[in-house]
Parts: sequence; structure tokens; C-alpha cells
Amino acid sequence: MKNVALIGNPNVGKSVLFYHLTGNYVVVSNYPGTTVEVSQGAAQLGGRTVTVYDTPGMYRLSPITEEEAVARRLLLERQMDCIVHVTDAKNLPRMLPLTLELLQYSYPVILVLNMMDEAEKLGVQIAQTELARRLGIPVIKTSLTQGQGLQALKRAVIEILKQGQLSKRTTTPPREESPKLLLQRHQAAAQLLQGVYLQGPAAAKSSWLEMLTLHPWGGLLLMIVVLYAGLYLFVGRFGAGTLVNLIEGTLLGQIVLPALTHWLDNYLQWAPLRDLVIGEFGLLTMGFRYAFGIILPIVSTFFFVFAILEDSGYLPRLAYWADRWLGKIGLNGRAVIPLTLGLGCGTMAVLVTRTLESARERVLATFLLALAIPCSAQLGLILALLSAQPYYLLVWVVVICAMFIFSGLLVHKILPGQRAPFFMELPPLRLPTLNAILQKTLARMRWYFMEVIPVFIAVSVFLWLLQQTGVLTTLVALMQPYLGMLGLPSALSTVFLYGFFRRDYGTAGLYDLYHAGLLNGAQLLLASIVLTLFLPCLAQLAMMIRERGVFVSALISFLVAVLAFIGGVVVRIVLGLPTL
Amino acid sequence: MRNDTFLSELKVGEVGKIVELTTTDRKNIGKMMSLGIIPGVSVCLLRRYPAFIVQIGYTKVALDHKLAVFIRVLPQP
Repeated sequence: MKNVALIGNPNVGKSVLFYHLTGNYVVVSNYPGTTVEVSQGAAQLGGRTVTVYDTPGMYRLSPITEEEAVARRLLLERQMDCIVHVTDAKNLPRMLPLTLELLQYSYPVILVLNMMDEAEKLGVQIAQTELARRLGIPVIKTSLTQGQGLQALKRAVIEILKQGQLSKRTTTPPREESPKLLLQRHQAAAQLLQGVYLQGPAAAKSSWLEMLTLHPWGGLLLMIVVLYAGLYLFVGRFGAGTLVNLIEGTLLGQIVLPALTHWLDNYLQWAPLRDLVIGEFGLLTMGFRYAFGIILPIVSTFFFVFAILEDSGYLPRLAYWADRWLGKIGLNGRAVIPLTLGLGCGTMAVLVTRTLESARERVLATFLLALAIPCSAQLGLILALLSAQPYYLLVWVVVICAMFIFSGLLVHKILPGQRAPFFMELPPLRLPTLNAILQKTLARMRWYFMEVIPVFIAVSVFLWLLQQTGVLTTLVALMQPYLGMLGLPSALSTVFLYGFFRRDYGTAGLYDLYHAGLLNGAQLLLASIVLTLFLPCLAQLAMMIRERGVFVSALISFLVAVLAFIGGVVVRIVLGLPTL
Repeated sequence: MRNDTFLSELKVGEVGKIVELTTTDRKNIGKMMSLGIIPGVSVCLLRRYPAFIVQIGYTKVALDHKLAVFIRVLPQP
């Protein structure tokens, strides 16, 4: 089968093109580094099936960051029949050097001038035919988000594939390149563009909104608005409050589950089997209800808000704003992207720490994600549960922030090395389209379900097994003294067990206990704090091991467990609560 | 004719033509070049605080002080 690779700088539209060619949706945003892994899909081109690869952004073949290295590896390991170099047309001068580099290694290249709509609005003129003549390769103008130029591009790819000219690469691009060579390539690109690329008459103007997002106070104000309106009101009150009450409370709790339980009761005569399906940890009564009734509404509202933030281009601006503060704990502004993504799902976020430059920063961010960043379902439920007592909510926020800062400073002190200098492109602010946002929200929900469904079955079966064999009682007894030191009732031990499988399950269990009247307000607060800080779920742990290795992950887990426990005890003492 | 200085010394709104990247760290040079910070190119300083922002053509780039002190520029009238 023929292979086609989509290559180019970050944030130029490779993933959009991938979607147009293959129909496979990979998450697309308005910030560099959305794609950190290679995606692969089948496309129908000229009557045959072709494999298309979407790659993380790269600036050159000799990589600097891990994500760039991913794209390089693909090009070296797999024979490519066509490379589609996607560029942002208005910024062609700084993107063309990669085209030249690809040509230098004899790859069969097509140059795509994407975002022509934006370039034209700015008055940029590009003489397409002359550029193609000078480069000796096809040059195609597109506006891929509108699907413009797609047919011409497809024809060009088909043509290249028909010629069947394989890359004649004989030398391997070096791992590192001297600045002199880099400069020469940029100069060659500038020369090549003379008389072909013309900037618009007006310099790029910054809108007032743009300037507000970059201003230190404006940025703070905007962040508060986003946190309050987006997280607290929409995810916390609407998602975790209204929607959960409607779906879990009314629809599942009063209509669907009672009817199903009643009906199944007659069929499931064997008691253990009945327990497995509709018992305390039953597949239906716990697994299904938690996943669809509690977690789904929260996660989807979060993903919706997050998609708006991503597509608008707000996140890089937040990174800029936060750089100075994150510097105090040894991170740089870039860490904002994995950390905020961690508010959605920690597992996804650990993967995205690849966009950070040094191993040290990746470890720091992974650690903070494991300790002090609650995931969306957890966050939403805690916001909803504690919002009845604003004082407790405030205490929770303060404790988690304090823990973030304290542990960040601590690890920053322990780990040798320095942070990498902050350097980042600020993409233009764009008005997100509803279509793109819904598509992304749905894609993430689908991803979420693929991950959550096997786990909810496994957790139910596992707890059921523990219960049937009596191990559960032993475990609960083992955990009791520790919970006692935290001033928490032993009923919470199962919640901590769920929490180990999935954070959101743990919090959903908390929700149940609170509604059953087994916890008072202060205990709810303490449990929320400890559950937020406590060990990440299995999926996140697995991702940590994959990305950071067993040793670092074990160390992080140990540190997190200790800090969560100590933090809980300290809060209990400060609040003046008794041990149990 | 003004003497050249460093990007970190420019005032907001000033334009400077990049003369040289005075660091030997290949990683940093590579990063800056890939976003268009290249000798011979003019940049306009948009913000100095909380970090530096420069406009190069149609690109806005944020960078911290550590990098700004490496970029030698010739202020343009």
C-alpha cells in the first residue's frame, strides 16, 4: 500500500487535512502541539486505498523536542510515496525552509499553502505557478477548514503516486544541525521567495481583545472569568448539578434503574449473580450508573468548554501569562497546556507533557498532574457537592492550590537542572465554530467511553469478587486506622478503592455516600481534599509508566501518597476535627 | 545612526533589525530560527511584561528575558 505523510510546522492544519482525506477525526485545536502522536488512516485516492499519516508538528528534520522526533522517526522508518508539506500561507517565509530540507533529501513533496483565506484577508500575495516552477514541485492553495482546494490537492497527490517515484533518500538527516546551515537554508528560502511572496500593505494589527489577553491584569481578569463562568457555573453547577440530577437522579434513579432492577430480580435467582448485576457494586447499579449518570454529563460539559478555549487560541495566551508564576516552581509557560488538559483527563495530559522541552520539566509536570490536578469529573462533582457550603469550597480551593505550590517548590528544589527558556508562538485569536466544537467534544467523549467502559465492567467485577470472597472486609479493616487518622468514617474505604481504579469513580462514590447521609460537611471536605490529592487512577498510572518509566512513576506515586495523607491530616488538625 | 543593542533593551513599539543571535546553544538558536527570528529580519516589540512578545511578519512570538538578551538588534527609525 502507498504511504502519504502530512508534515509541517505545528498549528498549520495537518489534522484538518487528515480528516478531509481519511474521515478519521483527530483532535484539532488552535495551539501548537495538539497532536503528539502519529495517527494513521486509510484514504481513497484515484481509485485505490492509500495510508495517510498525520504527524505532530515539526520545524526541521533534526528535531529539538520529543514531539518533533516522533515525525522524524516516521519519515526515517517508513518508505513514503508522497509527503504533503502543509504550511500557513501568510507565514511562508519561515516555513519554506522545511520544504527545502525535504527536497534536499529527495522526498517527493507537495507544498500546500493553507489558510489562504486568512492570508488574502491580510493582503498577502503568492504567485503560485512561479513558486511551483522555482521549486519544481506542485504547489496547492487551500483553506482546509472550509474544504477549499481539497480537490486540487487530491489530484496532485494522485499524480505523484502515479509517477511512483519513491524517495531516493540516500543520506539520513543529522540529529543535530549547525546554526550556520540552518541560516543558509533560511536565506535560500528568502531568496527563492523574492518576487513570489508579497506581504500585505498593512502590518498585522492586534485587536483590543488580543491586547487584553496579553496584559498582566487583563489576563488575570480573563482567567477568573473563564474559571468562574466556564468551570464553576457551566461544569460545576450546570453539568455536575442540573444535568446529573436530571440523568442520574430522575431518569436513571427513579425510572430506568428501579424498573430494570425489579425486572431482573425475577430472573436472577442465584444471589451472587444478582449481586454482580444489581448489587452494591453491580454492573448496572454502580458501573453503568456512575459512568452514564454521573460522569458523562460532567465530562461532556467540561470537554465542551475546553474545546472553546482551545479553538479560540486562549491557551497559548494563558501560557504566556502564567510563565512567570510557573517559573517559580521550575516549569515554563508551556506547561499550562498539559496542566489545563489535566483538568479534563490526567491520562491524556501525561501524554501531552511530551510538548515540554526538558526531561526535568516533564517529570515535574507529571508529578503535579498526579498530585494536585483534579480531573474533570472529580472537579465537577466536588464543585457541585461543596457549592452548598461556599466556605468549604473555598477551603478546598486554597488547600489544593497550596499543595500545588508547596509540592512544586519541593520537587523543584530536589530535582537537579534548570527550566528551559520560554519560547512560544501565539497563534491568532479565532472565533471558534460551533461545528468544530461539537465535533471535538463528541470525539473526546467517544475516546472517553472507549476507555471508561472496560474499566467500569472490570471495577464492578473486581469489587464483587472481593466482596464474595470476603477480602473486601479485610481491606476495609486494613484501611480503617488510616482513615481514622484523617477523621473519616470507614464507609469511605470502598470509595478510595474505586478511586484507585478511576479518580472519577472515587468521587462518584463520594457523591453517593454524601447523598446517603453518611458524611457530614466537614468530612465531605476532607474526603474531597484527600481524594483530589491521592494517587492517580490506573489509566494515568499506566500512561506514566509508559512515558516516564517504572522507576520515576513509582517514586512519584510514593511521594503523592505520602503528601496526600499528610495534607489530609494537617487539614483535619487545622479544622479542629476529631480522629475516628 | 544608532548603535546596535539587544532585544531586551528595546522599548515597546520599537522596531529592530536582527543582527545576530549571540548564543552558542544550538537548541535555542534552532527554536528561534524556526519561528522567524533570523538575522536580517525586522521585529517589533509588542510587550515586555510579563514576558517579551515580538511581531515578526504575521507571527507573534512570546519569549522570556533569558532569550531576549541573546538577540542583538539594530533599532530602526
